[in-house]
Amino acid sequence: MFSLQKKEFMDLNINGEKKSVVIRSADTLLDVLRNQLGLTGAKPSCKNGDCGACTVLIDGWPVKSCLMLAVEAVGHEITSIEGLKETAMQKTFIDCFAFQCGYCTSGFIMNCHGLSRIHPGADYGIIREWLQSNLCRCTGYEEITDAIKSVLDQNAALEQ
Amino acid sequence: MIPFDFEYYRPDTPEEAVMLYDDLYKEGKNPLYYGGGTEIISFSRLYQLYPGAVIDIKGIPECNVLEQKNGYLVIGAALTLSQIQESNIFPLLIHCGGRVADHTIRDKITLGGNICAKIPYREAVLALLTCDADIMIQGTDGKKRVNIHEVFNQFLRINKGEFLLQVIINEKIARLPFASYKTTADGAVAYPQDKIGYPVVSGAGINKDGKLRVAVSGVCNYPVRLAEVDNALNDTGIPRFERINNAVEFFPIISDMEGSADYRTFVLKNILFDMMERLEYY
Ligand SMILES: Cc1cc2nc3c(=O)[nH]c(=O)nc-3n(C[C@H](O)[C@H](O)[C@H](O)COP(=O)(O)OP(=O)(O)OC[C@H]3O[C@@H](n4cnc5c(N)ncnc54)[C@H](O)[C@@H]3O)c2cc1C
Ligand code: FES
Ligand code: FES
Repeated sequence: MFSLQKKEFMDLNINGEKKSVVIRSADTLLDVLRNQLGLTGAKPSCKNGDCGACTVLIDGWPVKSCLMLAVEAVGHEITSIEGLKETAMQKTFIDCFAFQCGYCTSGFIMNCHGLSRIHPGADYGIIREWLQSNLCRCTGYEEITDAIKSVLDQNAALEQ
Repeated sequence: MIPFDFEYYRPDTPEEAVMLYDDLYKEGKNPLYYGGGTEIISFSRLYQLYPGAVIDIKGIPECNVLEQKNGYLVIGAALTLSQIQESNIFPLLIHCGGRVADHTIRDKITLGGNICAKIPYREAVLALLTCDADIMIQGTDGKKRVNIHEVFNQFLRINKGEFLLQVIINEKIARLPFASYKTTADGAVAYPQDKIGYPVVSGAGINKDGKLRVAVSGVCNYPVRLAEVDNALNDTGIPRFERINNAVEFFPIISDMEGSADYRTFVLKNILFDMMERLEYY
């Protein structure tokens, strides 16, 4: 049986690399990413599951890292914004002016990137449902929706 | 940050989980079964909960099944609401579970965790109450299968150390036409957040053999299906409005930040009326 008694070295598979970190069993993934690994792209905000600023991908699925224990992520593939390199979603967020202050942006991009992989043919209803998970206090959601649609269209065109 | 330590265990079998619970309990460690952990983490961070150990059931194969077997759907307690939604296996559960929190959190919330949570709403339960689901419970003396109405009264009443392994639903009932609603307080912040929030009223209904069955959440401090309400709604000798008025009398309707009792009653009556229309039940 896998267990973690209070505090131990554990291997995390993060952005394609294996990193050995000291994890306290009650540490959230968000705290370990930021404080132990220096990956500050996942942002702390509500720490309560409401805002989505801390979103990362676990095996390709968006998860709010403030509501996941780091120990739960052992054995899974974690992708944070630092693991995305020049993806279409990042470029399109810039092209569509889909952010202003940028605090929410890494969380949005992770969620939207996950969506584009899991539901490449997502319709407006699916996009809307997924976007409900993230809050932005500066810009409008229209630009973010445009960015997702643009990436889905680009992917569809590439497949033809 | 969670301001205290606890031990984390991920057992491989249901038997190992209950034995571990027993040992940890005897050691005074106040263990908790751990599904998605969304409530355990949130409450622990605020010091409203302080387990000395958590037993993560996600490593137990029986808790991760999603299958159709001998006319029944078997859904493991550790499946997330998103996994259930993607499977398309049980439309009413997809509707009720699919409006809990938001999409990303549903990638983490488990069916078992939503049923056993402290939060009053527990919307996934509505589908199970209307469809008379069975519940598979694991204890130190083995597994037992019981009907949800025997063990769910305001919350799931299982013995200390037992845990919810699976939910089992008759496939024919799971495929019946249904109607499902969630009304939230008008706290819309901006598109697309206007559907997110705790329910003023969340409701589910099916029409089985010409009889309406209704379960609601948000109305009281717990999800509920009452025989008196079903009977009042099915009293076809009197007009529809009167039946609905009689039915809502049986709920101890609450007032809180999300809505007053009067507003909830108003919303509930409208939902029941619409439900009757949609299920072609007059
Ligand atoms: C921002 C936010 C908004 C939310 N909005 C809603 C909403 O609108 N409607 C709604 O219904 N819910 C809502 N929820 C979900 C709810 O509050 C709980 O967080 C969730 O249901 C808990 O599920 P979990 O799998 O994470 O459970 P956990 O946190 O793992 O566990 C919750 C409780 O259940 C017990 N438990 C877990 N699994 C089992 C099992 N298999 N057998 C026995 N006991 C078990 C645990 O010991 C614990 O006491 C919301 C949550 C968040 C974070
Ligand atoms: S910080 Fe995680 S959801 Fe807000
Ligand atoms: S760009 Fe500022 S919060 Fe979204």
